[in-house]
Amino acid sequence: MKRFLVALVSVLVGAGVVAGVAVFASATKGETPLLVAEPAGTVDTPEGPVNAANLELYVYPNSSDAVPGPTQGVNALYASQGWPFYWPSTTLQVPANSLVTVTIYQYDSGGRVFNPFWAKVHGTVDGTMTVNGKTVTEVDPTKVAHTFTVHQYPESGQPYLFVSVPLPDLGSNQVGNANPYSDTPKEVTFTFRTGEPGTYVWNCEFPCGDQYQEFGGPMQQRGWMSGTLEVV
Amino acid sequence: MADTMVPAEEPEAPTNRPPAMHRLREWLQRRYVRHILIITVVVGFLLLPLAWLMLAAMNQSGGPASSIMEDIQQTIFVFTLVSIPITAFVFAVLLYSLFGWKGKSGDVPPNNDNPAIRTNAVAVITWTVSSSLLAAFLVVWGLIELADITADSYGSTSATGQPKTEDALVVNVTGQQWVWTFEYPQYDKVATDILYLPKDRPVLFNVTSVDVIHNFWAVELGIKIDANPGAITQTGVTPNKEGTFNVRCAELCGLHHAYMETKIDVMPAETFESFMRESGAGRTR
Repeated sequence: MKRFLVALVSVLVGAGVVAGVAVFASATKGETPLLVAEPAGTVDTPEGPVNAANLELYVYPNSSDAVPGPTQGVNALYASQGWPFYWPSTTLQVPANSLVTVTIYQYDSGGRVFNPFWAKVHGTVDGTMTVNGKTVTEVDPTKVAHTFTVHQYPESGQPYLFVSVPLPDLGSNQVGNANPYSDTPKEVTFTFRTGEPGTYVWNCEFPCGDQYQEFGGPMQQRGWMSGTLEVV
Repeated sequence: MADTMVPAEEPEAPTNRPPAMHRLREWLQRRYVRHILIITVVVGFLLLPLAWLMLAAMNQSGGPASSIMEDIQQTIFVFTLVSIPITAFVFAVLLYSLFGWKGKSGDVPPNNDNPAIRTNAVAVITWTVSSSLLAAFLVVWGLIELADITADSYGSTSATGQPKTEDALVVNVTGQQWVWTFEYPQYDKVATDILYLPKDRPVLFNVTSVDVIHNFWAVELGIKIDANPGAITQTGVTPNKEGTFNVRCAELCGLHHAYMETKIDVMPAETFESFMRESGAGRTR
């Protein structure tokens, strides 16, 4: 009987430890709230009418009173680090088989992107984007602040989706270190087409973090410069 | 007349050692030997499908797509087959030892222990010779295949090595958290996020990274090499099958390492040339 009780208690303690770890991991995972693209009617295309949706994002150089940045779960620990971040969320949802127009307001400074591939526009309709209303296919690789780059797990059976746009920088004297931010952000707009439903990841390809090669900090933590794109 | 004297045969010294065959027969009739041999055969047959299962798993995504991967698969298949009887024998001895001498409830330990195990020359020679032959086979097979793969994949050339043939396609591979990009210097430096390759044309990859260490692994092509920041490593392959295959990062490299994958599109040579032309680049070299 005593042996049975010892075994039972051991199993219960083990299960408790596993459950505790799972609860802790879930509570601190730091995923930002879901941001759903707003439906925008239909658009006529050569293949027929296609549903459209709009998504609006902001990139800030650091958190402020007005824009606190990600604070969910473990992100609360990083709130005072002065990291750049996408706002209002990095967990994005867009409709399937649609044209999605994304507008990003970019408030940060930048520099040279190591790989010039990321200074070019990839995967958008016509391979273009607009910067403050001007249509371009690439930007100066020495003046890139961030990128918005969607990629995926190719063996998952979902349609291939690769979209990458560079976000031009603001001059460092134009960037506010805290609230208020610059009054003249770079406004980048692009449209891409989604296929069947799937889940993708996206991140910034410009090293804008801290530590080694500036690939630490916000580059390695969901909710700052990376997230998920769900096509539903 | 003297009789031819035939020396009388000396009587054999008395011994209790039976002839070798008789001893072997007697040994095989022992209960535990029979049981272990039966378990070996059963476990061996149960494990046999493993060799084909491994091949099926490797071919799930459409490979092999190069002679290098064919060599690798053949080696894995043969090594698995060779290891099955050994694994089966080890498990047979283990299982028999666990259950064959298991006491029942109420048993009391025997008063006297079994006789001490003495050395057995036949057994020692058997396992030494068979292990040596097996190891030699694995080494020789491995060296031959390794030489083959190395020759096919530029494995022995330095980082400044040039393509072995004029016709070879050069691709500059860059790993970056967490995307691969491919540049074709012979085609006006066209750059893509998918690896496009022509079938039956040798390819030389110059691999590097702009941040941390990645590992360029073209799964179905059977090549895998580190992508180091500040250095160029080289590998090569000749794709021999059209289709869509996978590139993965095989070096833990950060948050989205698991997503650092892309496609390989192997197409006929003419289609590849047209694709490059459509991408805005005629062949320059």
